[in-house]
Order: sequence, then C-alpha cells, then structure tokens
Amino acid sequence: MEFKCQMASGGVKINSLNNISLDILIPEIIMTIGMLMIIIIPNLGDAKIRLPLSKIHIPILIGGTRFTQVNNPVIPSIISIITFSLATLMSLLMLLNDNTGVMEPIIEVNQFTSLFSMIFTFALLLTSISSLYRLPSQANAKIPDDSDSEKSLNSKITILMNNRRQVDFYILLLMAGLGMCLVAKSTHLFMLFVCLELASLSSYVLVAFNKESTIGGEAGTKYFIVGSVASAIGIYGMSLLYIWNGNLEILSLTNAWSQMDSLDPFAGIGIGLMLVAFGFKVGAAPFHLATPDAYSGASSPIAGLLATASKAMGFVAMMRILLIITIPENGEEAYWMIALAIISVITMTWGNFAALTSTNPKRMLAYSSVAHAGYMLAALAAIGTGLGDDESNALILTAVIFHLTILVLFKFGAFMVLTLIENEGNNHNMTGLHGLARRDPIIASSMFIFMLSLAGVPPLSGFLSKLLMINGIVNISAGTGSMASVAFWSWASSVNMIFWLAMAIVINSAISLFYYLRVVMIMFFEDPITNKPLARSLYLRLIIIFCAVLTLLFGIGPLSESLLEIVNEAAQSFL
Amino acid sequence: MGGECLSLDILTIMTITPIFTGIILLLMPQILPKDVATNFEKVTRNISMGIALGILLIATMLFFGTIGSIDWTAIMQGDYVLKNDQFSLISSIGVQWKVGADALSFPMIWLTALLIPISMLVEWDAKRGHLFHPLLLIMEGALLGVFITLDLFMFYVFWELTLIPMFLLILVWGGDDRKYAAMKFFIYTFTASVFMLIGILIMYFHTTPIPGIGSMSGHHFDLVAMTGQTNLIPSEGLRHFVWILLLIGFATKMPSVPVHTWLPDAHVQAPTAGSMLLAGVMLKMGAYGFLRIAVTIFPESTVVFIPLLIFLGMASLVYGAWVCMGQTNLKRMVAYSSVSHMGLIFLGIATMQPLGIAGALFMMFAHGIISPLLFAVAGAFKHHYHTLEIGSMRGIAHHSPYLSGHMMLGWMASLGLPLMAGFVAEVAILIAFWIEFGWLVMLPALTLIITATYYLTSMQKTIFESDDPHQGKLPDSLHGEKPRDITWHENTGMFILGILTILFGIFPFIFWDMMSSWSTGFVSDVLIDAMHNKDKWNSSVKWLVEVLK
Amino acid sequence: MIDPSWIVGLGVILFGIGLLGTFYHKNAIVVLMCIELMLNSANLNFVAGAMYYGDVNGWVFTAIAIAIAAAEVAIGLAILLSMYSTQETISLEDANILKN
Repeated sequence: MEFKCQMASGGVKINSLNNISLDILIPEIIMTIGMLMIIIIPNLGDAKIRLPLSKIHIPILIGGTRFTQVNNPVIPSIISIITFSLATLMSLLMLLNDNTGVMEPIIEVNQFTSLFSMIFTFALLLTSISSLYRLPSQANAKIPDDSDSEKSLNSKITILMNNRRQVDFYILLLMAGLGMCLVAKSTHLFMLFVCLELASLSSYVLVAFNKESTIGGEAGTKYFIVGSVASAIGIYGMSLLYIWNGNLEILSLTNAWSQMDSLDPFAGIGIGLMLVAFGFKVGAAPFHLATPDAYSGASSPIAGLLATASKAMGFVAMMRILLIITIPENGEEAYWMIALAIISVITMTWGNFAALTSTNPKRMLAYSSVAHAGYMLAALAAIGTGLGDDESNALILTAVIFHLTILVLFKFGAFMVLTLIENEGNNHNMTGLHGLARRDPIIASSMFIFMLSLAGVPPLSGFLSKLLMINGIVNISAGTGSMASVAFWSWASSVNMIFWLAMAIVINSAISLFYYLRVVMIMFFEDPITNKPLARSLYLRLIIIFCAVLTLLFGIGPLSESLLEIVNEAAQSFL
Repeated sequence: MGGECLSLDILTIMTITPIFTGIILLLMPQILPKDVATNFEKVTRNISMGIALGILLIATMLFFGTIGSIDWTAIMQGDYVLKNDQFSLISSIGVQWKVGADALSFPMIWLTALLIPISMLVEWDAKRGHLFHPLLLIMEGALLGVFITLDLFMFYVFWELTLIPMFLLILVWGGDDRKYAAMKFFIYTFTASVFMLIGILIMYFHTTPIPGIGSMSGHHFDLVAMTGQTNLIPSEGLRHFVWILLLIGFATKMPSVPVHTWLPDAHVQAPTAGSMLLAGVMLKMGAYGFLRIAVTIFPESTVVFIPLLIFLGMASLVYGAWVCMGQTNLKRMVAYSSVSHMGLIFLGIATMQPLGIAGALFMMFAHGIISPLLFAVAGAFKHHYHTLEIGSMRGIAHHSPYLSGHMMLGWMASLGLPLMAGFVAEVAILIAFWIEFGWLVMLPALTLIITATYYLTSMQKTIFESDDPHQGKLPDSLHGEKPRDITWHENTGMFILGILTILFGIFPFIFWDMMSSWSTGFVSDVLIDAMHNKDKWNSSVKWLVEVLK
Repeated sequence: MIDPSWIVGLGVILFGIGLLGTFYHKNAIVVLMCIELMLNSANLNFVAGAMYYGDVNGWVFTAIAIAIAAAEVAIGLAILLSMYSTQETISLEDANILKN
C-alpha cells in the first residue's frame, strides 16, 4: 500500500512506508520491545476471563495472582540489562559491518550514529547493572491486611512501593536510551529536538528518583527548571530557524546557510539560542550551574549516566549544528568560533577551580566533567577556525569522539566505585573513600586508574584522547605563526589565537591533577572510618575491573589502534 | 601488530620483563587464596631481587659483549646499536616500538640496572615488602624504557610512567609529611612535562610522512627520523619556542634552580630506596632527554641559548651549594648538593666541547653512584638514630663505625676529591669551561673548593669529634637507647656503591673512553654546523663576564 | 488575514516576558508558567512560519510542541511534589541543602 499525499499548498511528500527497511533501527526496536516486556512480564498471572453467557474461562495471563517466576522484584532490572546488552551488541555489529541506511528525511544511519548508539547503550547498560545494587527491593512482598499493626503495615507498604518503583526506573532508563540513540540518528532538526526532549524528560525524573536521600527532590527540581528553560530557549531558536528557512531538514538548512550572503539575524540568533540548549546538556560555562547540584543529588549510577551518555548526546547535537550546518565552505572562520573559544576556556577553568574546592566526591566529578566539556569545546572551536583541511578536521573530530567513547569507561567507572561506597550511606563527603586501599585494594586501584586517566596521565586512555585533542589544535594552528620571524615574540603574536587554547588545556590539566590526586591520597593515606569490607556486589565489581582494564588497554597497543581506526571512520562518515 | 611475527630483542625484554613481573607480583596475593597468598608474600622480595639481578647481569654482559668494543667516533649520530625490528603500536598516529642504545644511554641503562638491586638490598626489610619490591621492579622497567626508546610518544609515556611508582613509594612508605611531598613531586614534574609534550607535538607536526606509519595523521614520532630531517622546523622563532618548552620539562626534572623546590621535599619524605632512585636515575632523565632531544634536534637554538644555560647552571651550582651549607637535615643537604651537581652538567653542555660534554656525561654517571650512597647513609642514619638532624650528633664513629665510614666516603666523593668518580667529571667540565669561557671558571671552581672545605670540617665534627673519647654525643631522639650499627644488607649495599665510586675514580676509562669518543662524534656531527651562530651570544657572554667581575 | 510578522512580534514579547520571569521569580510554579510562555512563543513562530510559507509542517510542529509542553508540565509538577514532600517548600531560593 502506498501512502502518497500531495499537499496542495506546499508540495510536502510523505514517503512510501513499504520501502523503509527497519533493519537500521534494530537497537531502537530492541529497546522498545524491552520496554513492553518490562510492562508485561512482571504482571503475568493466572487471570481468566469468562466468555459471556458460557462457563468457559479463557486465561488472559495479565493480572490475577502473579506467577512465582515473575514475582521477583529484580525482574525489570534483568530485562533491562538483557535489553541494553543486546542493543550494545547490535550497535557494535552494525558499526563493524558498516551498516548504512537512510530514512528520508528524518533518519540516517552510518558508522557515526552506530558508534554513538553503542556509547549510549553501553552507558545505560552500566547504569542498569550498578542500579541493581542501588535501588532497594525485596522478594516475597506481602499485601497488608487488617490484622497488621500500624508499624508492620507501614513497612509492608514501603516494601511494596519500593518494588513498584523498579519498573518505573528501568522504563525511564529505556526511554532515555531510545531518545539518545535517535538523537544521534536524526537528520531533521525537529526530530532531533523531540528525541532530545524524550531523553531529557526521562533524565529529570531519574535525577529526582533518588528519594531515599532528602536531596533527590531538590536536585531534580533544580535540574528540571534549568533544563527546561534551556530547552524552551532552544525550541524558540529552532522556530526562528523555521521562519528563516521554512524547512528544518539539516540538509536544507546547510544549503540555505551556504547560500546566505551575510548573516541573517533570524538564522544567527536561532542557531545561537539552540546552542544554549545543547550547551546546557554538555555543561558548558554559563549553563553549567545546575550540573553539580544534579550530580550530587542523583544516585551515583544516574550521575554517571548524566556525565557520559547525556553529555555525549549534547555533543552530537552540537556537532550537527556547528560542524554540518554552519561550517563555512571555503576556509573562512565560522561566526561562532571566537565565542566558542572563549566559552571553552571559561568552562575548563571554572570547572577545574570549582573542583579544587569541593569536598563531595560527586560534586568534584561533576566539575571535572564540566572541565572535560571545556576541552572538547576547545577542540570544536579549532575546527571552526577553518584553517584545517578536511583531514585535519577529521583528526580533531576523531579526538572528540574518542574522548566521548572512552569517557564512558573511566568516568562511569569512577561513579560505579562511588555506587559501591554509596550503599553504605556515605555519599556526600569524602569520608566514604577514606582508606579504601586498605579495605579493598582492587577497587582502590581501579579508582586510582580512573583518576589518573581523568587527569590524562600516560599510558592510560585519558592521556591518548587528551593528546589527540591538543594534537589537533596544535596541528591546525602552529603553522600560522610567521615562518620568517626570528624572535619568539614576533612568532607568538602572529600565531592564531587558537594555539593558546592548547596551552590553556595543558595548564588546566596540571591544575586538575590536584583534585584527582587528592582522591588518591584519601584512598591510600587516611584511616578508614570502618573496617568492614565493602558490599559484595559481584557484577558491579566485575564491571568495574572490566572498565579499569579497558581504560588501560585503550591507552596503548593494538586495541587502542583499532578503536582509533573505528572512530576515525566514524568521524569521516560524519563530516 | 597484525600478523607480523614479533621477534623480541634484548632491550625490549629488559624493559618489559620487570614491568610485567612487578604487576603480576602485585596482583597475585589478591587473587590467590588467603593462606597461599601469605606464603607467596614472603618470597616476593626474593623473586623481585632475582629479576633485578638478572637484568643487571644482562646489562653487564651487553657492555663486555658489544657496547664496550665499539668505536663511537665512527658511528654517525642517529645510529644506534642493539636496535630492534621496529613495529607499530598505534600506527594511525605514527607511534612505533623502536628501541636502541648508544654511548649516551648505555651508562644510564647500566646504572638503572645496578641501582635497583642495591636499593632493594638496602631496604630488604621494608614494611609491606610484598608491595614495595614489585613497585621497584615496575620503576625499573619505566626507567629503562625512558633510556632505550627512540620514539617520542613512548618516551613521554615512560617518562610519566616513572612518576606513578615513585608517587606511591613516597605516599605509602614516606616520612611524616609524605602527603604534601608526594603531591608536590607529582604536580611539579607532571606540569613541566606537559609543556614538554606541547613541544613534542609541535615537532611531530613538522615531520614529513614515512610510508607505512601515521596513516591517519601523516606524521610520526620517530626520533631517529626527526634527527635525520634537515631543518625540522623552518621558523626560527617557533624553533626557539619549542626548545624552551622542552627545556622547561627537562630542567624541572634535573632540577635546575628556579624549578627545583620539589626535590628537597620529595627527597626528605621519600623512603631510602625512593631517594636513591630519585637522585640516582630520575634526575638524570632530565639531562639525558635534554641531550637526546633538545640539543640533538635543535643545535642552533642550543647555541643561541648558551647564556641561558650558563646562567641556569651557575645559579643551580652556587645556590645549591649555598643553601646546602645552611642545612642541618642530612637528606635535605644531599638533595641540595644534587641540585648543585646538576648545575655542573648544564655548564658542561654549555661548553659545546667534546671534553665538556663527556664530563657532563661522566658527571651523570658518577653522581648516579655517589648520591645513592649518600641517601643510603642518610636512610640508615634515620633508621638507627631516628632523626635526620646532623647537628644533634657528635662522634658517630664511636657507635657506628661502618655507617660513619660510608658517610665519610660518600661526602668526599661528592665533593670531588681526587681518586673518586666525581673528581674526573668535575675536572673535565672545569677544564672545558676554562678553555671556552676563560676566567669565568673561577666562580664554579671557587664554589666547589669553599663548599668542600666547609663540609669536610663539619663532617669531621659530626663523625669524629667528641668531648669524651669513648662516648660522643647522641641525639635526643634516641631517648637514651644505645644505637646499633647498620645491618648487613645496608652495609653490603653501601659497600658495593663505595667500591664502585673508588673503582670509577681510579679507572674512569671504563666508561670514559666510550663517552668521550661519543661526544667527539656528537660535536663534529651535530654541533659544529651550529657554531656559526656563536657571534650572536659572544656579546652577551662578554656582558655576563663584565657583570660577574 | 493577519500578517505573520505580527505573530512573530507577539512571540518575541511573550518570550521576553517568559525569560525574564524565569530569572526573577523564585516560586517554582511561576517559573513553570514562564517556561510555558516561552514554549508558546515558539509555537506562535511555527504558526507564523507555516502561514508565511504555506507549509503544513509548521502546524504539525506546533501540535507536537504542545504535546512536549504538556509532558514537561506533568513531569515538572511531579518533581516539585517530590521536593515539597521532603522540604515543605517549592521556593527555589529556600531549597539549598545541596550547597554543602
């Protein structure tokens, strides 16, 4: 059957649905099925319906007394772990098989999008696994009856409510995953924004989900208010773009932009306002204020999700706007270059200095993630100078994507270690980390690796990505200094200002060492407040060690080599 | 690596073995069941010692087998012995595994291989030894990696890798203020080396592609190819800038005067083995890197900046000696004397003479034997007298004859008495300096003589002088206990170092021939072309001479 | 028919009021209302664009944007409620236990 509908006024055509191949959307389909499964499976029971006017009872399986096999409250988390593992695996396969496809005009799948959907689903997989130990749940909950005293009634209700929350939590995770993956794949600005909202709205709730601590609600409120103001600004900016062009497809916007003689105010302001929305997602400077509040109020797995997947989503959207739509063709300087360079310097410096003074490990990691956003923005600003050819631009983009990829390993790794400690109730000061090396040497050495990797110490992967970023900036800019100049100062004044961004990154990395090393100090030096061993959480431990080993292996050697090649292909498929 | 077959060469094995053994030894007790782990922890130090001795044996055999019999003047710069079949590590950005040794790096390799077993021996009874000795092994691998690698990326990786075990050594086994010292050490050297990293990256972007490597970026980190590329960076201003960036990294490690403040703190707080390695090998990494990268690739910039080198060298020498005189803390004293000696290395390089450079090389080696001896003495003093305050003690010789013997020997060697290893280096540097800069030599020479006199008298007081010929004066920190003399393993370690100090003082030609022929080749191959820039700095040197007069 | 530029002008005014309101009001409910104003100004722009270009997409965008706004308010009220249950306030100024 063909849907073809020719509009009298515009000439909008809706594509025929029957030649859309759904195989490019496999991860999304898996997640949708997972969502349905989470709704259905825990409700399976022996309910029957009687056919009217007869005595035949037909089992409908939904409702009634639930089967014992599905009565376990951890069923939703298991389903979500399986779903995300499958989605990660399928994204990886699509990435390795170079699956590409287009669904005009809203979806495009290439290596870039597959890589990012792998990043998102892997981060969500880690979130699910670490939440397995984080959310309270209890098997064999009883329904309260009249004979209960008030105390046992309350406890029974609490248990029931806790079990009920399991389903909500994992459905929200799956929705966030769906939104994120589609953000990476959309080639239509409105589609991109709707998916971004899907992911954002889920993440607001996830932040506020931490009801065990009193700060969850406040963190959720602050994150929600700032986030929705940012997205309202973004959607207004998008409407200005619509007025300017009459079409929100990225391809059409790109053409319109390149044919524009001088900067149209609608287009300029529209792009600028959209950047506000994405800047909030990545935690760039003036909009980063809610970030530490949200991270410290949310439970650690969710904070890890915000620091990795949510930030990567913001960067994907930002790259679409900055590097596809508004990048000038013929080596001119993009109009946002200066602004982005200044913002990046402010972001990294502010993040690092704020992290220096924070005493809450989650706040510290939040500020450090702000600083990392600054480094990546600096790299994007370097592309905006228009000095580099396609190859060197791809190199910088490779660095940014590589950083986003491995960030999932060590940033999330650090948050997973905090999850382990958080289960003891110490989550807003450093005391939980005191003497970790004595209580649990393996977890402490994993945290040591994560911290050094965040600081960018070789041979860990954080070093390689930071090196690639500095590398790209220096590559583009160092050639601009006048070759004939003899004295250093005449060279320094003639070099493009983007070169000094590389210096800013270097100085900031040095500053950041203070607070990363302070964590190490605390783990190795302070006396533990308790000598009890950490919770046994087997899967969480395994995955922490897995992340630490990968952090090492992606730093140097054949594995990093192949990852770099994959990322480079992805970057080239994007540009 | 793909399908290529890996043929491991001897240098790679020397580097990789200690790192992997160290990591395995650290991890084994965590994995093994409890009772097996306890037994295993007891033999950890023996295994570590065995590996370290094996590497020392290999290094010594290399010297007698190949390195010792090579005529280094005939070997062109950029040519190395014991090379491996290079293979790529991260081929897309041009990182390779490429190793080699020459007369510049081989003494350092041998020194590392020597000092690790000796520092293990000195700290044979360290607390938590099942972690201590494997960390020293990892340290050995990282240090050897710095000296053997010919790829700047791997050079930087190993350079930073040395920080991690040393940081942990100071942090876990250090003195009372170890937290502050470890932080300061790590942050100082890391910050400096990221400046160096920017310099390396700018050089990287001026390399021309080599077919097969650097598929993504079109550049490579190959040091040999960079040396061979004429006029690596065309812009003179940028060249000088890169040279300064490299100097920041190397001078902080050496350390030279304005950036030396991490060294005394790190030394005072570090455990004995840590101090020995820090002074013996890690400081030499700075001088080695400076010669290997900054001077070799940018000889013109070096010539232009000779006044800066002289200033840094003189400042370190005089300031180090001056502060050293005011110190009462034994370790702090040795640390400042290290700063002073590192200043001499800069002066030796600044002469641009074969004699001066050979002197600098020999100074690197001699100081690498003498300062560990002094730190071992200081560590033993701390261990048995529970203090480092040298002024609180008179007449150690009555209580600890062996310790005081080693202490006397170490100080005499450090002050450059004849027939000791340090003497050869100092005389060579001073002669070359006199040939090149004339009477300017009076400043370093007089500094050396005055400090020597001061120390000999103060050492004499501490070690021999006492009111009562049988008693001496004991420090308060002993609380009236009777001090013991040093243990057998401390004694053995110090004894070996003392013997070597005298051996290399009497027969310096064991390494000296190699070093001087290498520096002759170095000057005639690399530096001679750059010398036409000399007139640029002649005037500034004259000005400096005027001021100093 | 009204000229689309008037609609855009109204949108700018509404957006300005909403943006300023989010900065100056401390009551979370009022801030939510200001956010609604901003979203609606975007909707007016979509409508104006649809009228100007004669393009049906603009109307669709408006409908979807209204749905997003509804979802946002629903979620926002729920989150405010969860803060109210622990802190007994919905003033953004009084809620500051996170700062330490």
